[in-house]
Parts: sequence; structure tokens; C-alpha cells
Amino acid sequence: MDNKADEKFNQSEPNTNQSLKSKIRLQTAEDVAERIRSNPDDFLFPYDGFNYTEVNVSVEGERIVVKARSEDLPGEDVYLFVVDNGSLTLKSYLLEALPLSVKEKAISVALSNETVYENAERYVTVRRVLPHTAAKFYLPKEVFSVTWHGDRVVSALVDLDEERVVRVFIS
Amino acid sequence: MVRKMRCLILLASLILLPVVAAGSSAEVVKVVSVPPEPVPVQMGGMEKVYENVTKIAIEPRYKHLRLMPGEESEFTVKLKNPGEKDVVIEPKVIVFPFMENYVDEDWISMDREKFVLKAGEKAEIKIKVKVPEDVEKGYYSCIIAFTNDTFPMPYSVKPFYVNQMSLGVNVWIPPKIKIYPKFIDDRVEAGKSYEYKIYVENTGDEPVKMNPELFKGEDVYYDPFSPVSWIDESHVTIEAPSVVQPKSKAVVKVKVSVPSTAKGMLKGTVKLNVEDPGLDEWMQRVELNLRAYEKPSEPFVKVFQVSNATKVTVKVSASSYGRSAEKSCDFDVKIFSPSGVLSVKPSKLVEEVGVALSGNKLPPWEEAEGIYTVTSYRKTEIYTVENPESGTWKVEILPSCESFTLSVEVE
Repeated sequence: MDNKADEKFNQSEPNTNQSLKSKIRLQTAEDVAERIRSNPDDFLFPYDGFNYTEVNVSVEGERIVVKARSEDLPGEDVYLFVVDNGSLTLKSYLLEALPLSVKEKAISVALSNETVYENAERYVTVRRVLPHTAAKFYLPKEVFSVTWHGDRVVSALVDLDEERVVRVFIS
Repeated sequence: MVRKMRCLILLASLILLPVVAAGSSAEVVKVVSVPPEPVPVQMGGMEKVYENVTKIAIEPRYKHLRLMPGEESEFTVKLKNPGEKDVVIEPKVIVFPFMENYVDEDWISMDREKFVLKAGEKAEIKIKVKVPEDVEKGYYSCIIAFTNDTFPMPYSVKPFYVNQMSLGVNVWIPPKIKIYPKFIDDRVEAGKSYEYKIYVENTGDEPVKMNPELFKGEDVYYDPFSPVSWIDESHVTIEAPSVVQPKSKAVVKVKVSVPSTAKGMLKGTVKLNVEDPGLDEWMQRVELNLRAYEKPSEPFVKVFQVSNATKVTVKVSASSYGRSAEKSCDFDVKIFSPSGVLSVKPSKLVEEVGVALSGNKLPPWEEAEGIYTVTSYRKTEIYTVENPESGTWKVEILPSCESFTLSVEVE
């Protein structure tokens, strides 16, 4: 068994607003990048039922940027990890690799909200929101952010299981 | 099985709704556990809900397996009791009567049954999942609850088991056929024809029949800002062989004639109808998304006067937004002096890419800080004419974009 992974489980730590921390004892960002290249399934979260067929890992100082694609999905997932004092953190992510049908359903649900419908303009993106982020605004489960990028940003947080908008953001 | 980092990410204060599986329907023959009656709940915050409940740490919270009929897999669930009270662990499989496809209790075996997890201690349970040979292809799911603590959810009859994990099993048959691409996006000019190719590769040892056709959906489309319509089958011709030979690749040609009156988004789906049991119907679809525009037949004309000038500078810019912004920014420029059209190329080309670094530009639930996202594209061509002839000059611009800006400087 991997003692580094054991150590990460043994220490409970509250979530921060910005990141989730792992206590994997790692040497450098290059070490981590190599581990991600070798075992992407251990670090990444493709949309349910799909696998990444292309994973690009680049190191920028202590930042590790991972761009992943699936041949069965349009779009790209981007992950930003940070190695800081031996801890690996998933600092940010942008997950847009989704089936078109899921995107369309999410947009449809978002537009069923009157506030969103009346304010949305310009182009739209649909992104996955992982459970650890969703927990801060709704529930710890995977939901979707449907965002229109116009003069104002209008966004709906959508629970596709319940087919409803759970939060709305207007900049 | 290698532990996954994602398990830690889902570690603290996570409760997951059961995943309702998609896929082919299955007859419900058995309910393993009857859920408690739903009770109206005041929305008083998560702390209040967890007041009298002991939560344990469970890793992983999600487990997703892909198995063929007859295959099995084993994984380990780690439990930790961070509290001050001992907890009775009694793992059991939970399904709900309204789940479409569920993992049957018979598929699952565990190496531990009921035991006490003392305060501050850890334990592991090995869980084996074996898919019966006669199970149909599809997505199956269930909950594995480790204690009997529940609380009901507002707006849902499904209660939450406080200490649970979700198990999803994708029962699959490896497809022999590979299809590429699955999505065809293009910007098309009204009145023109386009040909697209879909490649169908047979990696198996037997020939596979196929019968591609255009599928016309009945869905009403969602975009109120731009017309969206289905591509009519009278505007599409599909050429394809009826059989894909083993170890070979076939080409499906899709020819689209864009109506001269087409506007907005044209959508279509090509269903390949391949006889491969490993491919669900939706896996054999290729989506067409064509953004139609009408190129103007007459250019925009700007006339200006030059008198004893040393230089004329003409600058033309076009912008677009979104990920495919670069494709939709183009224009043809002609410059006329009093003597006629000039053969002049841009002396300078500027491309500007708008990139967002999140922050206050994105909603708070898009934690994309530090990630670059392309939001816009702007292309500028600058034409310079030294010692221009005095008289009336003209600039003509024929755009392939929705809007542009033009500036003329006479020095």
C-alpha cells in the first residue's frame, strides 16, 4: 500500500474556502506532475462514465496545470494543482468536457428560472461543479454552472438530478 | 486497487444523493431496504441537521466501476470515527423502488458485517462486486449505508443516509466500432454546400452492418437570442457503405446544402445505426451544429478625401466572443485611390485574445482562479499608403463577421 496516501487519510482537516488539501508527502511539483502523467485516474475527475484519452501536464513553478480531453466529449477539462510545503492542493478547475445532451439540459433548466431568462445574454458556458465546491452553496454533490458571459455575468447553479436552479449569480 | 486522491477531496462533511442510473430500464423485482417516511424539514442549516447524528469519515464516497457481464471487481472502503462516541457499523445495500436500474444486493459481498467502530479508530471493509452473466448493458447504482442514521431532504422523498457512499456500475460490452468525430461544429454561409466526413472504424473480426440516416428531433430549442432549427432531411445527403469490413475504416459523407434563407443555429443528428451490441443508440449519434450566416453581397463603402497628405492609414477590426471566436472574425478589404484599386496588403496585423483569469468575472461556484479562459478575439488589419494621391478615395469592406470597425487616418 502507498504510505503517502495513508498519511493523507489519517489527518482530518477542514475544507478551506479556496482549496482542499492533501497530506501526501511529495517532493516537488515535477514529482507530482510525473505521478499525474502516469496515473491520471488517481487525480482527475472526468464526467461520469467517460475516460480521458488525452492528458497534458505542465509545470509552472509550483503550479501544475493539467488539460484533459476525451475523444467522446467536446470541450476540455482544466485542473490547477499547487504544491506547497509538500502538500498537494487542487486550487482551481474548469471542467467543460461534457456531452452535448447534458449541456443542453443544463441550459434548459437554467433558463426555466425567470431571473436568469430575463438577464442572460451573449455566449454561454456549462461547467461541472465538484461536490466540495457545491457544498459551500448547496449540497455536496456534482452540479452544473450555466453562465452567460455578457456585459454582466449571469450564472445559474443547476442540480440536474432535481432539474432545478438552486442558486443564481448576477455580477 | 490504487487509492485515489479524489477520495480525500470528498472526505469531510460529504453526503451524496443517490445516483439515478440512466440506460435501459430494468424490472424491479426486489427492494433490499424500505426507506423511512419523508418528514417535512425546516431549512435550519447543516449544523442543525447533524446535531444528533454521528458522522464518520468514509473514503471513497463515490465508486464507479465499469464491468462486463460476468466480471467482478473489489475495492476497499476506509472508515474513520473522528467523534467521541463509538459507532455501530452495519453496512448494507440500499436501493429505492423508483431507481431505474439498481445494483442488486446479490452482486455485492463484503468481508465484514456488523461491528463497533470505537471513537477515534479506523477500519476497512473490502467490497466485491460481481455482475451476473445475464445482466443487460446499462448503468446501475445503489447506496451502501454504513449506519442507520438518516434525515429526510426537502423537495425530495429520498432520505439521506448520513454515512453512505454511492456505488455506480456501468455494465458494458466493449464496442468493436469506433466513431470519429462525434461532434461537427462549423460556421456556414447561407446558400452554400458543405461536406463533412465521419469515420467508422471496425476493430473486430466480423463485418458490421450500418445504415446512417439523418435524425430529426422533436425537442424545442432553448436559445431565445438566436434562431435554432433542425436541418431538414431534404438539405442533407448521406453516402456510406452498408457494411464496415473487419479491421478497416469506412467513411460516411454528409453533404449539407445550407438554405439561402438560413439564419442562426442549424442542428442535426446523424444516427449511424451500426449493428454493434457494445454501442448504445446514443453512442452512435454524430451531432451537427452549424452556425449559419449570410455574407452580404455588397460591401460597406467609406469615401474620404485626401489633399496634400503624406500618409493614409486604414484600420479595420472585427471582434467575436466565446471559445470559437477566432473562426468567426474575417473580412475582405479593397482600397481605391482616385486612379483605381490599389494592390496593397496589410502593413500590420494585430490579433488580440481576451483572456479571463476568473476573480470577479465568474460566479463564486466556478473556482477557476489562475486558469486562463479565452473569452474574446479581435483581429485588426492596418493598411498604410505613403504619399497618397490627392482626390477622392474609397474603402470597401466585405465582412464575414457580424460587426466590424473602420478608421481612416489622413496625415
